Amino acid sequence: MKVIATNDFGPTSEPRRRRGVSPGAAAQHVVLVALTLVFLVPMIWVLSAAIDARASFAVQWPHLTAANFTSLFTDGVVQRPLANSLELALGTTVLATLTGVMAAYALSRHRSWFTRGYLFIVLFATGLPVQLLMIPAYTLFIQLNVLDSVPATILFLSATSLPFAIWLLKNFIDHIPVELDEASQVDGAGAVARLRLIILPLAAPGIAVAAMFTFLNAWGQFVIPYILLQSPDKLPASVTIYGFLAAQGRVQYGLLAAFTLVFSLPVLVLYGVLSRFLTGAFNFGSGVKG
Amino acid sequence: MISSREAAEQHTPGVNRSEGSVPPRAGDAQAKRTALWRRLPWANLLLLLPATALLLVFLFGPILQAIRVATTNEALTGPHAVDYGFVGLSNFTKLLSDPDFLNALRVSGEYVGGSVAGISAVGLLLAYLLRRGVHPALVKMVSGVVIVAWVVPEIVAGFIWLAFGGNNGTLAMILGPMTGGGSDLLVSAPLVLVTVATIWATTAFSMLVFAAGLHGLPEEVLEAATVDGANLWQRIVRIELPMLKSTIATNLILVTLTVLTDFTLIYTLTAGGPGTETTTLPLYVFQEAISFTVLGYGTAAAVVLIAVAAIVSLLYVLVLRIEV
Repeated sequence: MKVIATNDFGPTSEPRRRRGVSPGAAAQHVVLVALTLVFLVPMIWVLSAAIDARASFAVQWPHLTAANFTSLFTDGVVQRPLANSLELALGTTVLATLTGVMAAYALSRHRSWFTRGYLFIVLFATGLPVQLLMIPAYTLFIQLNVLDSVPATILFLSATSLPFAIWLLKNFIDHIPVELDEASQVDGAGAVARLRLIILPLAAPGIAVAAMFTFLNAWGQFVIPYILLQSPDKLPASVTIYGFLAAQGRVQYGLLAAFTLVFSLPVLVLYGVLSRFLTGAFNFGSGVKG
Repeated sequence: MISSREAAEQHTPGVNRSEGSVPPRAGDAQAKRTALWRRLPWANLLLLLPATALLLVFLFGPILQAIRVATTNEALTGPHAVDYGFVGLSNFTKLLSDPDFLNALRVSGEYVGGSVAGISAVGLLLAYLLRRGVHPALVKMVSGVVIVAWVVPEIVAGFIWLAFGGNNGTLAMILGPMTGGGSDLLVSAPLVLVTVATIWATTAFSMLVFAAGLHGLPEEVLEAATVDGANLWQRIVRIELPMLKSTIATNLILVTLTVLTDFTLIYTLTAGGPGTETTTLPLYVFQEAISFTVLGYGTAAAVVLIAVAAIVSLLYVLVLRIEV
């Protein structure tokens, strides 16, 4: 579940009536710094282990090295999983965004009991957590004979991302004036041409946001590929990392720490872009994702 | 949230100007809608087809599948893998007398209760403390760290806490002087550790929801309260929290949904163990269906969980009256 963050905590300064630091403000800062440390401390191990030549679970002053990162790629262990992650995430992003924008357009421009009910179900589905469906999905995949199929996994990932994508895109398209559609219709444009020429360019920022969210979810997803894919050469990085963890004891922790950092990097970068994007062009407040 | 219909109507002044035939009164929503209808024919709903197909097959397909499989004695291996039959509701009645299921219910209750309380309390506290009188750089740093803990993939959060809280981990080192040292927290207090890890990984969500809610409070009311001599505590408890009612409801429902169905973090950290000490409902379902290969029975447990989540999700839509 994700929130579209604006990082907007309101006015950061207020006029002070008296000079100096009040005990209240001091306490406020102390608690904030303490809480930040509590959140920061668990991350320190990964950061230090990744640059430590002799990493173990105990946090220690690292024997500085970049070898973990370099051997990660020269050993050729991580390219395949990362490429698989990219394939799954990109495939899902394209499919979910494309079908999502088509559905969102229809739902935004038609108002009837049908679209209302449809949207209600879509909203309801954003709250339905995917991992609950994994066991029945597993049996369904066996029945359809598509277990261990990357395209089928992409279809499943897309379906799980669709409700939120549709909801988000519909809200964006709602803000595009209907007159533009009508003008183009008078000029003889069909639904698809209208979508391509009018809606897509105007909704581009919204589409980018939906695409980024879909990508973020698909990239980090563990349960779905863990259950639906089996061949080692099809597994994404999340499942590979779990495989290393499960083989505890025989693991080079420094390498694994470096791997998780590389794996997390796209997510952190994309999230940074996303939150900046949302504070900049849009005042979207806090859209909530399920 | 702006109602989408309002938005659409705001953008449709003069929509009937060129229509000519039946000029409707201004503000007559019904007439406007009909006019829109005529202009955008049903054929456009074909655009819904691809998404609908995906949702039907892969989202609602598994739900129907779950209900079907849950009423059979299907298994992954053994004689019932091929030759299985309808067993009615017997899987469900068997659940109610299964000590492992009841244990999973209890563990889930404690885990969800502890996590939701912790996430919401820390999230609200952070949102409140970051609200004013704090240097922007500090706001950025605090929210940045908390948000990073939330956006890293779950598998990475699991890895971090395995290293931090596990045997010889940093947490054992920090707590060493208090606990006598050397103990593996994943063994001595697994449910507590899993709950704390969940709070660590999810608080940012609550913080952002509350920050948005606090940001929307009318400044005048708060000022009036101060002028009337309300102290800080009275202001928070009597004025701000009551005004945040719907934000609190949103937060509680969404956080409950997330935590209730959380799988990856616990699976990475303890895989439900030691024993069944951290086997929440999702882990129980997984173990029954995949590891122990009793598909029908495990799926019955999944149906129970899906039903609970569906009710919470329905509450979310109904209680908050989100305009569609």
